[in-house]
Amino acid sequence: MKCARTQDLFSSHLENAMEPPLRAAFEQHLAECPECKARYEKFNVAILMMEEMQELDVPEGFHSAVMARVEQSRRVVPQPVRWWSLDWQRVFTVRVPARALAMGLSAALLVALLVQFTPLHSITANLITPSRQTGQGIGPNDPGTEKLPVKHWDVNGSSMSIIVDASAVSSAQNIYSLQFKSKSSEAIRFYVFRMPADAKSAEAGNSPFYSGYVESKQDAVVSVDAGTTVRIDWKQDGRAYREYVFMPSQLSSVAASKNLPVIDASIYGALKQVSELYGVVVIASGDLSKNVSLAAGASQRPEDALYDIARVAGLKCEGVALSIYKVQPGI
Amino acid sequence: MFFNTSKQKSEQGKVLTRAEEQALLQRCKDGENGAFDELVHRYQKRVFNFAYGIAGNPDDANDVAQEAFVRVFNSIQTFRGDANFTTWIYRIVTNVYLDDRKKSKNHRLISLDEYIDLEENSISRQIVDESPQPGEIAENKERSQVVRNAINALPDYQRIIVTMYHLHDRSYDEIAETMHLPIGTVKSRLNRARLALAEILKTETELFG
Repeated sequence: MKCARTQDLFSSHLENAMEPPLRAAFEQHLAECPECKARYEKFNVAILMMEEMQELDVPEGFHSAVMARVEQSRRVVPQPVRWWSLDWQRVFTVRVPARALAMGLSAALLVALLVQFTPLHSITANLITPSRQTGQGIGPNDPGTEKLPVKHWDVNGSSMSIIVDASAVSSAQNIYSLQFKSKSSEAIRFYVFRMPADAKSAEAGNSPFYSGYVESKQDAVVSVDAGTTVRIDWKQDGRAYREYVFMPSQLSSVAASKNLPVIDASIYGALKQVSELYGVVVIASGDLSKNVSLAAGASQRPEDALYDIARVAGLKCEGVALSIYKVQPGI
Repeated sequence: MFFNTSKQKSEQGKVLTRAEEQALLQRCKDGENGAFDELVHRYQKRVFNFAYGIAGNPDDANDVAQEAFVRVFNSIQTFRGDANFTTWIYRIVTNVYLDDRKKSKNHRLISLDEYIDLEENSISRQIVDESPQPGEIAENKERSQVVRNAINALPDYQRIIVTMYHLHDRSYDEIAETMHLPIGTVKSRLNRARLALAEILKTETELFG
């Protein structure tokens, strides 16, 4: 057997996958060839070294980065073609007959002159200029708002904190983003329940819309459609935590005064009503099951309405950002 | 430090039974958000380490592994379950890595600085206690890095096969399926890769005795 053939068979011999006659020839060559024998020994050592290799832990932030990219890919929408992103080299290499090109340019010039110097100008201007809405709503019909709230809040006693980001509640994506952060050294498992639209009580049971982990010192992001209320549950150090987030379908950019209708519902139902009426996000914890009855009130601001509701149940209310309010235990 | 080395199997690396894996995949196909979160949680360590094995550095491995999970998410409906899921996901990682290589057309350069300078007599082989001692851990890390650098010096196709076989315990059948190669080709390539590694590690093996 030649050296090259012997070396081709190193793996087969190592794995005991050779027929006896071939094995005998292989071993005879090794016994006679010090070079191949030395190579085979190095071969074995190299394999032993590979078997002892250690695994790495995944980098910090890996999990949340994957989930954010997945979320992004889920929401991919066709992008409009921009003039600066066109492949201009390709555009200019398109072969167009010179005469057709000249005719096209002439026609375009003629149309432009007609539009510019005749009454057509004002008509077309009205047709193509978007009329800007002046209402207060921030939603699919109001693309003009840019200052949108992002609020971070810590939950008392838990090392998890939650950020509600309403910056994506716009004409393009009517979505709130809930971001979870943990300072704990252990991964925290959390559940997000989408409360039924017709739920009258905070205890309405349903299955989790999302369950996941917040890894140590990492973020998790959950996107929620506008007009949804979610319940967030998690456990940490043997203690259970629960928060509700009421996200209106139309987020208001100003704290406008409105006439409060008659309210006769659980605290949960009342908060939902106020959230939708004023277009404000309400983050609530504590006992929301008590009933609250309020007569129709005169025009008042959202914080006043929320204060009236919260104090019935011994809860306190505070504004934490533009159009975001927090209701929690304690006066 | 950004990375820690560990051989311990954590919850996130726990191998699921076939039935558990199928159930999790079905939940992903049904669009349950939390299910994909759990899938990433379960497989991220294996996927990242496999990406590290073939990409050769942590930054590229991070990008490749993330992109692989996005592709898994986007094509999970097409996974029929005939193949092992791990085989499928490793194929995706391999494809992502090779696609990136095609795009960049930059050949990886192994910096000499990456090699750890092993001082003579700095390593001993006194294996008495089963649990790793601090010096032993450092030695293992150095040894792993030396082998890692040697694997990085291999051509792509050899590095991928070596990573699958030795670092991720894939069988010849699974590697052949992942890479769409005949088993005989996988075996001969692995043998060549091992021979090349033995040569690259020549100096280091002398150091390790």
